[in-house]
Amino acid sequence: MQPLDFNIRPLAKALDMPPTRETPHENALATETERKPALRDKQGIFPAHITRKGGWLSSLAHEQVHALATHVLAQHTEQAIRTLAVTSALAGEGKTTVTLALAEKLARSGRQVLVIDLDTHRATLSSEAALEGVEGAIESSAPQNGSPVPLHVYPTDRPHLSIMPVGKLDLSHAGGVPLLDPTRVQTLVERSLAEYDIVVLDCPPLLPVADTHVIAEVADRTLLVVRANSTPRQVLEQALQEFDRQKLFAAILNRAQPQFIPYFREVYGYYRRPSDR
Amino acid sequence: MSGFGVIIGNYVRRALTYRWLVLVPTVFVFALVTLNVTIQPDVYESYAVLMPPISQPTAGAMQDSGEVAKNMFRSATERLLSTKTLTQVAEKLDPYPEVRETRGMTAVVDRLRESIRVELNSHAGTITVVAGHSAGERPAEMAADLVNTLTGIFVKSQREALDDDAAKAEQFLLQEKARHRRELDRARNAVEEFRTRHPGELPEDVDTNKAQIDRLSQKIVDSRQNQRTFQYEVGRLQRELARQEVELSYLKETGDTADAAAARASEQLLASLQAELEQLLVTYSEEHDTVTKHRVYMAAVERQTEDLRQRAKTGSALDRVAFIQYTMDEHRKQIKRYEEEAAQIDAIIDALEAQIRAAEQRVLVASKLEVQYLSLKRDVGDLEDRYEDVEKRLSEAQYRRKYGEYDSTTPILVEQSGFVPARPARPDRLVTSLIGLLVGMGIGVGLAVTRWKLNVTYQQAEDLRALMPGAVLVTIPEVRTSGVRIGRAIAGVLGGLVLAGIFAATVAILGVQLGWWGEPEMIRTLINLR
Repeated sequence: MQPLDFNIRPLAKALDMPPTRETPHENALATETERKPALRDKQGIFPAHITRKGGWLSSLAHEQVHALATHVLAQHTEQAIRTLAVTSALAGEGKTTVTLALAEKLARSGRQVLVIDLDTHRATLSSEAALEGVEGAIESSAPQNGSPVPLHVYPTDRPHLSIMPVGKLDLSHAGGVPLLDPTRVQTLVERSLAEYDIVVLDCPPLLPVADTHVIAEVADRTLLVVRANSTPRQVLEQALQEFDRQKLFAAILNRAQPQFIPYFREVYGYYRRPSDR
Repeated sequence: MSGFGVIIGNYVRRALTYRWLVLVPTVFVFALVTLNVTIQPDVYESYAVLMPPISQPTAGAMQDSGEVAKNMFRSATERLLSTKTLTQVAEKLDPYPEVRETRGMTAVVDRLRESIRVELNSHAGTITVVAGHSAGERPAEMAADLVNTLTGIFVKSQREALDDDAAKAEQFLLQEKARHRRELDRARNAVEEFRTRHPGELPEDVDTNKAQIDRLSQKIVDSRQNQRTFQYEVGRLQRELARQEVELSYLKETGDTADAAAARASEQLLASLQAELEQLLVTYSEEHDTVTKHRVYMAAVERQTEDLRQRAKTGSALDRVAFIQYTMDEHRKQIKRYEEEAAQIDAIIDALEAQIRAAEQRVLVASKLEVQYLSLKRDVGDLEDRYEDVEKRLSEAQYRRKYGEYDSTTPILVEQSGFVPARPARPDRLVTSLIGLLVGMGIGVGLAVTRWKLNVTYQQAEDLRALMPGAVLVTIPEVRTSGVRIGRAIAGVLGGLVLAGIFAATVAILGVQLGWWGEPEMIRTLINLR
């Protein structure tokens, strides 16, 4: 079972049509529903943090993400922070989950939010959203040879929230997954920022992959997700050795046992629903 | 929250995290121990207490008493459980006839060895022999018979061994006594021979020699004193003789029959004697013999002077001349005798000095012979001690051989015979089960603590704070899907039920054994009725 898990894969069946149609850059100002079919939360597209369907613990998680979003928005307002990279030391610590939950909270503030899946190795967000094999970040960041390259963005049924999948990965060449080009990532982010207020980058983990260092250079701030009771301390310290800590904005301890959450009892009483009492 | 509260809260959180790690070993160990103690059969046990010897005059003096007790315990255990002893017990009692018939006497001995155990009570210094068998197999009397027969055979064999040892010891000690006697006589002869060769030169004669030296020295001093007295007397008599010659020549020349002149001469002599007395008092004390004699002489001269004064009026000169001549002859004889005695004193002093030198020489020789002489005497002393020791041991051995069975030095006595157990012995099931519960809990807590200490991951926000100071810290709880939650809840409930069931069943079994729910016989009856 994944932390704060949510079942996105069945979403593909719930979509009206597969998200294969390109969205021209010129149509960026058009309404999202016109460009792409909306991702709807019929079978749990968003994690329990957002839906509050996971009992009082979900509510607590919701509040934690809400607090995080509040911090981000404050930084957005005060220091014009617009690009956030979300990463972790190892895979499977809940980056994508936190990314999506945070993006949803940010979108609720009325700001246009775009989530870009830059994890070219696992592309969890793209696969869970059934957006594999469609154009996405790779195509959107391709060099422009005269004609403008469109941003391949897919709206969701949440207002102001869109997703850009990783795109079509060409694994036929000998090198396997190519390294991200800093220039192309920079261009992609800049173009996205022209249309969206906040861009959240779902990054690969720090240790196995070098891409994150490139992405972190482009992003204004970085969020680090640490899975409780899973990530060894030595591993995390090693991952942070070559990381620019000035850009480290927040650390999210994910999947913590309730008893290790501060003021657990008070929070428990506050968030218990009347029906639970 | 206070620091102590934080620590307690931390421990409580860890305990909640590893609750199954604590609960499972606790319940299982408790159940296993209770089950084990429940299936242990009741046994009839009988025990006898053996008392080791109270005193061991020869061996005990050389060893620590605790070590002696341990050695004796090991020796007794080996002998008690020896095949020879157990075979005798088996032949006498035939405790397991079915085993003897099917598997032979060796199997019976092995079975006996399993049924008997020997324990040392260190504090009381006693040895306990315990025999036990399953309550359902043999009667209670069998346990007492076993332990009493075993201890009886053992003690009897010990006494026989003692008698044998005592006879051998006596024979040996007799030989030793004769040998030591020869050595002692030889050493004493050597000392006597040494004394004969060095008379007066032994270290023990030194004091005598020194006392003799002191005595002779004092004798020399006294002789010299007497010699000086004689010399003084000679001088005095010579002066008196000179005076008498003057008086005599005066009388012959003047023919003065009047004693007045003699009285005057005598007065002059008295004056000179007074002056001489003053000189003597400078050298001698008032009580000294010389002074006393001088005073006596002066008194005589005074009387003579007075007599002359009286005779000056009536005396005869011829009588006076005759008297003076007679007196002078006597004085000369006296002087001669004094001079001879003074000369003899010189010879005596020479002889005394020779004796002193001889005594000093003996003292000097004694210091040189001291080591050799003391060595000989020490040999004699050692041999005398050894001889006495052998004599003492011999008398003890003879006494033991004669009265050994009733002496306190008998190797082992039966302090308490085995009794027929009134009821079967059974382990303390409650205490054992509680110990099992505590041990299980200890194991569980140990596992939990080990797991906790070996966990190098992050579990709470405080763990991250040290690594990333200044960063915003957000803690998102683990939220499971409803299916997972239900599954885990079911698993937790089932696990809890299993553990609770095991625990309840264990307590129930324990309760039956301890009679919490009524007498066990009554419960069995109820079960049979159903």
